[in-house]
Amino acid sequence: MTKVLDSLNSGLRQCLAADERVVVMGEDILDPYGGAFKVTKGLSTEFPGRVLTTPVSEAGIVGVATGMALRGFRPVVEIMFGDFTTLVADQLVNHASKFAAMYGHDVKVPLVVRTPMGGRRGYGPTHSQTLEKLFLGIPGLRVVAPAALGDPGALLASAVLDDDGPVLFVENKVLYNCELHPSGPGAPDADEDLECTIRAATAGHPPSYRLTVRHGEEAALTMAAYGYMAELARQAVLRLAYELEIFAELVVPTGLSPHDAIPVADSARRTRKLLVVEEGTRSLGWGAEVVARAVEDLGGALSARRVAADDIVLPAAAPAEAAVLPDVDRIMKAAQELHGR
Amino acid sequence: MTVPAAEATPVMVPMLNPNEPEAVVVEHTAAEGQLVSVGDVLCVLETSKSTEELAAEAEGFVIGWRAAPGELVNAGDLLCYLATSPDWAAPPVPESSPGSDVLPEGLRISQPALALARDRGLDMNRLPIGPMVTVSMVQSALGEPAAVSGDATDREAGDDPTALLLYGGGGHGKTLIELVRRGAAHHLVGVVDSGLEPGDMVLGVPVVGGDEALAAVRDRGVVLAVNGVGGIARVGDRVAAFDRLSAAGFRCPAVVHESAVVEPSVQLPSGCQVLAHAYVGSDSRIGFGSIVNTGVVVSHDCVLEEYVNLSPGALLAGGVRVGAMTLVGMGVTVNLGVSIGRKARVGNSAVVKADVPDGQVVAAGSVWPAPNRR
Repeated sequence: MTKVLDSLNSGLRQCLAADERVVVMGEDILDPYGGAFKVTKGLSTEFPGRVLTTPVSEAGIVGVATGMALRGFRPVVEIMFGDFTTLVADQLVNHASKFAAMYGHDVKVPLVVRTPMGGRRGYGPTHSQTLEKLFLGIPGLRVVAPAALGDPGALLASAVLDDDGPVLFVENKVLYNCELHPSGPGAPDADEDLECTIRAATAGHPPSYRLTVRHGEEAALTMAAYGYMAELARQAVLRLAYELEIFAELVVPTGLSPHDAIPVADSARRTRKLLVVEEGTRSLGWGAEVVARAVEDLGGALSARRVAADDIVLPAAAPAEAAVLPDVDRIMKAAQELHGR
Repeated sequence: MTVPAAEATPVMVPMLNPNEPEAVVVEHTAAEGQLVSVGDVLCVLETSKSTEELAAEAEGFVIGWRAAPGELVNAGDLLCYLATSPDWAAPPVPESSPGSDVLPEGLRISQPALALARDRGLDMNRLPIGPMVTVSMVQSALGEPAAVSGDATDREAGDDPTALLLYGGGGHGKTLIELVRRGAAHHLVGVVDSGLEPGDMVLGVPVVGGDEALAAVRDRGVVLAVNGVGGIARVGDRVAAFDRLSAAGFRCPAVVHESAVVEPSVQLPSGCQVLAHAYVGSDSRIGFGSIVNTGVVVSHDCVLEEYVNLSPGALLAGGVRVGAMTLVGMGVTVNLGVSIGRKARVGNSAVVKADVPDGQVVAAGSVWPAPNRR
């Protein structure tokens, strides 16, 4: 079975092979170390001169990459920990994402910044956050997040090769080691319990997935989650069905910003109950936008809740951190409360 | 004070890397029953960052390997025991489920349903393989009347599970009235239609009012509705009707004419309607709110997304996909494996031989794709 990590590594290899303008840059990414999380392992050996190790300056790396993108390269920058994206915020928000608009649309910045977010490794408050919420809703900046569904490597390759604007590609440390679930009807060894429907990419929106309990009852609840949270939500969907006969369907987008509200609306208009799960802190995050758009689009009665990290600084000690972050039990409890109303 | 030697010491998986409890067992270097000394390598464990040899911390015979090569283990898991005697018997591996009877292969059943079935001594072989078996299905198998039909959650005391409201009293609505009357599952309590006068009758069913009457009907304990809006001109009207019903707290059960043939392997969701003499073939899936009109043939392995409308006499070969909100006209034929996109309109009697993109209008009586002119 392929892991998300292997798929991403393969996607990068595919990019380097497909287009000589692609360059991969980051800290400690050369072989034999191959990067802090091994996503770039093997690439510097196979593509000498195309994989560059950089000084420890996130703002510098993204600034240089932005310049390279302006001059015709297609750079892929690795920021070692998602918490460090704060250091590249000015380059991304005030430079890369605005140049096309400020200087006329002949100017393009085909830059991809990829980085792992997420906790559960005991790495402490400044190495465990889920900070992509800071970059959602920035005009000119797309934010994309793979899940253990479909082809994460292809999702990354599309961002690198097909998108002429800057993309923040949000990975997750724990997700790296998750095995890909087969997607789509008729997939070989398809999950016997969950059926996955793919909504193909449309202009501006990458694919999304909808998981339902195979041959189960009509879904009475809609869940929305992305990245690693989609794995926990998926486990919750199964346990809710088998333990409590509460049937939910799970919508997993890969595009975070701009937000494509249609997949959630398609589901929530039937169930009228929406549970959003995210690893970022609850207040003013991704879930808030998902719920707001659902209410705006659907009108009528709609009950919604968000399961997210508590609004506090993440502890380093594993049990303390676990108490703050979402888990399957907490998702199930929220689903039961929403369902029972 | 002497402490008597334990009969066996458990060997646990250590935490090899900080923050990473998982490891894979690469190989057992000590075999079951082998005598090892302190420092002998028992097995090899691999993490994402390194490979480690696990050494014995006591002398003894290796008994009761738990994790096989290739298995993923976590720090703290039991690997094996080091026993003082080669004849020492390891405790049995605890069963993951306490139930003693074996379930039929492939049975998918919820825990409450399993508990009920065991409690009543139901022969599990009477339960279907494939669908997810729930409490209501076990009750059916036991011959008990289901406490509720379908979704138990919206139900309140006083809700009538057989009362059905018709939304929209036009032509399609009349068809649905006669369909419902043929069946035994539901009875119609009224029609909601803003274009008709309260008190008017549609085929003997009273009009209770317009949209403003929905809440009152719901309050009377009517929880089920059927959508009589055909939406031929604008599919959005039909979707909006479902939205209004759902917002007012109604559910729309699937309704099937008694003369229609729907194979048991087909999944019919809420809101869909299968009219007289229609056929829906094996393993086909129909989406929420779709209409399979009179005399339509949907062959095996088709997939209809939500709000699809197949007009009378449409003929779909096997493996056809129809995207959401698409209208397929009367007498249209669609070839094997063809995929029609979303929000398309295929005119009456068109012959569809290849995929149709989203939003496409296919002219009535035409062949799609149009043959090349030379």
